[in-house]
Amino acid sequence: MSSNIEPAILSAHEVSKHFRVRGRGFAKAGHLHAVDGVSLDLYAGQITALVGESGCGKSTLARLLAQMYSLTAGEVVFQGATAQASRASAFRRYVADVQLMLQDPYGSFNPVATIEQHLTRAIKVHHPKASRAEVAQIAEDLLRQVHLEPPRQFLDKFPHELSGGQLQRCSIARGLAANPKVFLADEPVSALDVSIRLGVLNLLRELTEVHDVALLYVTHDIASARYFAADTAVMYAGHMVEHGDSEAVTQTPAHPYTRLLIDSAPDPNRPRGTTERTDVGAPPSLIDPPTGCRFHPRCPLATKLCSTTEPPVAVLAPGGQSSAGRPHWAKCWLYSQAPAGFIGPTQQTSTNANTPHRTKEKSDGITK
Amino acid sequence: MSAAAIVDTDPVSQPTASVGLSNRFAWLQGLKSPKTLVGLIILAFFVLLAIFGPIFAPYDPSSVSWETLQPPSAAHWLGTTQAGQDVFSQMLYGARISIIVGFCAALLATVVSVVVGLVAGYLGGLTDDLLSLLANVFLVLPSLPLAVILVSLLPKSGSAGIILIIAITGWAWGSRVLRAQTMSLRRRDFVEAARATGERTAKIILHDIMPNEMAIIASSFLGTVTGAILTQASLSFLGLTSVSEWSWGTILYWAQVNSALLMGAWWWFIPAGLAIALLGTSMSLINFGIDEFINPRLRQANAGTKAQAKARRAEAKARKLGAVGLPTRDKVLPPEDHPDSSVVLDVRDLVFGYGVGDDATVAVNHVSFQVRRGEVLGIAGESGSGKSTLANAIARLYRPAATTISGQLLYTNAAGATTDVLTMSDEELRRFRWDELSVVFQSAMNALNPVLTIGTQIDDVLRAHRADMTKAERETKIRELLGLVGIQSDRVRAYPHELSGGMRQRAMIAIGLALDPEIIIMDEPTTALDVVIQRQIIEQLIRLKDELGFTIIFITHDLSLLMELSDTIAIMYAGRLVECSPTRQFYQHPVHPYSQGLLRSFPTLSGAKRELTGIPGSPPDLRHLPPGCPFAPRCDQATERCQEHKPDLRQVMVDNTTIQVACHSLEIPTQPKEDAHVQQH
Repeated sequence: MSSNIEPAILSAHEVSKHFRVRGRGFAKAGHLHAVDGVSLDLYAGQITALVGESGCGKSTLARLLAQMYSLTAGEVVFQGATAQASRASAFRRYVADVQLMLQDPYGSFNPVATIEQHLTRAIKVHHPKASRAEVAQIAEDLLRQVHLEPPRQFLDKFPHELSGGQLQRCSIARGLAANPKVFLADEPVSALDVSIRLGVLNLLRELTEVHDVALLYVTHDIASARYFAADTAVMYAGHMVEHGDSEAVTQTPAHPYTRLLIDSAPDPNRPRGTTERTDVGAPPSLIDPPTGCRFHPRCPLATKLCSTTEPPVAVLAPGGQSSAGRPHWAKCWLYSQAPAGFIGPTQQTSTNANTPHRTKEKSDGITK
Repeated sequence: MSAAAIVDTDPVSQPTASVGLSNRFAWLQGLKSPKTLVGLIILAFFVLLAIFGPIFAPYDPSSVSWETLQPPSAAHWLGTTQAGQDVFSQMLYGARISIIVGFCAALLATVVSVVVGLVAGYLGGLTDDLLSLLANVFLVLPSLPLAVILVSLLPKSGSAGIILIIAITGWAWGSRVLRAQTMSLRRRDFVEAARATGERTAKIILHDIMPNEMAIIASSFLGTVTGAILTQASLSFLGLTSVSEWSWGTILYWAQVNSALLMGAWWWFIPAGLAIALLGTSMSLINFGIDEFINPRLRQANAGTKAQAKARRAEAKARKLGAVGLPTRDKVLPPEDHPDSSVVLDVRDLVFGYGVGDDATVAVNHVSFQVRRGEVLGIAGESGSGKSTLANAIARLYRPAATTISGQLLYTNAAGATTDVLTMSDEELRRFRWDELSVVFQSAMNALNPVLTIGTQIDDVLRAHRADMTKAERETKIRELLGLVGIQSDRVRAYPHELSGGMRQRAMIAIGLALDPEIIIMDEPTTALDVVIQRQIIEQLIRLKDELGFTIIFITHDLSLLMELSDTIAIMYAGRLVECSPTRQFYQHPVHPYSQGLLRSFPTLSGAKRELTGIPGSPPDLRHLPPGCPFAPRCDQATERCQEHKPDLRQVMVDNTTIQVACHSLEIPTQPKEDAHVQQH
């Protein structure tokens, strides 16, 4: 495990991504606030899980880190320098270090090309001078690294001839062709069967340790984050709401949303009928997101303050052993002092129509 | 998890270890299609004609003679023209120009349309706007008049000019089609994956986009060939090309100029017209087989279909004669045969398979279980384990591809009458579905009709099955149903696309409940949903079940969800039921090694962290099952006996609970659980 002083290899600093949404019919055009002011650090040899429901912006954040999308605001820092991969050559250099891996193993392979052709292409991008024999050698080595043996047997196959687990291993092999320092895995096992998932996750963990790679594990399955990742970050509606040691986040969740997520996840240890709850509604529209804390319309504990002002980071516990000294924090007014001028965190407070503190980040409304 | 589900419901797409031909030459299988073969033979004939024709031509096509307007004879196979020229020789020479112009023009037009279509579709933005505008302009201009105008502008009307003009007037349509295709391919994951590896744009277009459009490109090319030959003939016919250059079009031109039709000289124009029509036909025939040439997946999938269709027909015939499969027996069994009226569904030795010969797949293999009234039976299994096929088999919703069916599906209704679902007539079956049993599928968006409102769709079910209900009664019932599943009644008039995924799934459940069925089969109903919504729907479902007292057969791959939800858990593996026991018992003491492996595969949220070991290997190919226990190759407790003999599903007492399990290990005295003893059933 990395030590306290080691800096992050890849970081997102207050990144935002707004997509332009075309108006259809009478629906007005606007901007979809997919990710708003999110920061995240990835460390060599460590797995960080990014958890949230579909549409919360976790996949967008992974693509922002991969420089597949341009940033609306904020910056991505790789090895201490701002990553600028707007030009094609710079992007190619960048992806050699930071590789994105996609969810659907069936979809992420070209159906008319063999595994060998896929690997050969990836190898040629990153080893342009390799001879034909060398490329073939590297391709076999890659398949061996992901435990597909004998490699020859897999190279000739078309994607539809392999199982989901085997394809996802090929996908990892393709990513390894670049010898990356960071792996961004977007739901790498969601499309796989339960008995297959563990093998792929263990392979990813093994590669993280052997190659000292930083791994971002994007998932909707918070239980797997507990077992698999040192750190867990929770996103809701484009905001990061909680971050910390995986065991702390899953066992002592602080943010009401994290609690909802954990209460909702199936858990055989919980006897049936113990979680009777009322309808908690659905995530908000991100074209016109709620002000303040984005969870407040669904939150049972929401106060007036929550609906007007975005809560700051509240550190709940200093860093533990496994998260290499990084603290457990949540963005929730439950754990922060109300700002001066705001009378009490109770619901009755009806004063304070225009609070002088920062209302929802109007400032970074810069759009593409 | 849609991909996994697709594999599950479609046994043909199982990963296979062996493909008939080596991949490199697999495309040759396209030749197996007789249509393609005939098309290619015709094309080859004309191409040979174009190459060697002039060598064998008996006469110079332009040389005149005294033998004018002769009908076909031994000297002049296709007769002569008014100037005494040999039509056969003209046809042979003409083939060359017609085919060269046709193919070259089509090649040029296709290249232009591929470049424009792919670039516009892939790059999008301003490039797309401009190129699309250009294509649209060419599309609205009628091509033949445009060609006529362009020809008259040409200084010299040689074949090269004609090729250029045909290409200019013919590329736009293909580019539109390719642009649309590219735009949808651009969003596919494999294109994003290629971008993520740092591949250059040009390479992505060449390697990822274009090969996937080869079928369209090829068919557009073949279509353009026919079009170009026709256009060339038309232009020649109108006298707009060099009339001294022999082509099939010029033959027609001269025939028309000399009023061949009026003089009854059919031999003058029919051969040229026939040749053009034949060549066009050959292009269409080749087009039929083009997909198999290009798509590696179709090559393989197509192989079995014919044999399957044949077998299906034979089986249908045999069944009509009463010779096959279903044993004849009294449909309604006497109640004493079924002492336990709490059993609502008794599945006995159900076998269900697809395909014939090498492709034969038994998706449900001698499965037996019982479901009690008001209980939740959870069926879990991996992709391809046969769990969805089982659901379809119980509802008799199987697709026509099903070739083997045997066993009994005994359904006992609330009044205590027992019927075998497999022997029901179509009319009985229609009543049985919805009234007694309904099915809720995984993908609510696909299962709901997009052009009808939610209210109308429930209304349709009510009208079809409850003819005596008045409109007002139906309306009250619809509102009540939507209320039950937690949809506000003002959403009655909402279309499926106006509802969220969770709401659509609720609407599906409302439709399933419409006729108060005894049994609801739910096939992965919440797999596509987020956990928070899944939890809400599951809780609602359990509340409804407690209120209305129906039985649920819940099918999913999510074992942890089943453990919370179901009373009994049945585990399927490779088409067989391997274990069936009460949920609590199953969670505490799974007996089958596969069940044990499954429980060691998924992470838990609460409690101490367990060691996760998973299951090595991957599920077997249903078409090539091992002779013994299908799990034996992955089993750490497998013995020699497991490799050779399939274990039967037997009743076993474990911890004073009767469970069903199919494993040899339970018969060996040194098995892990000392309190288990075998009870032969």
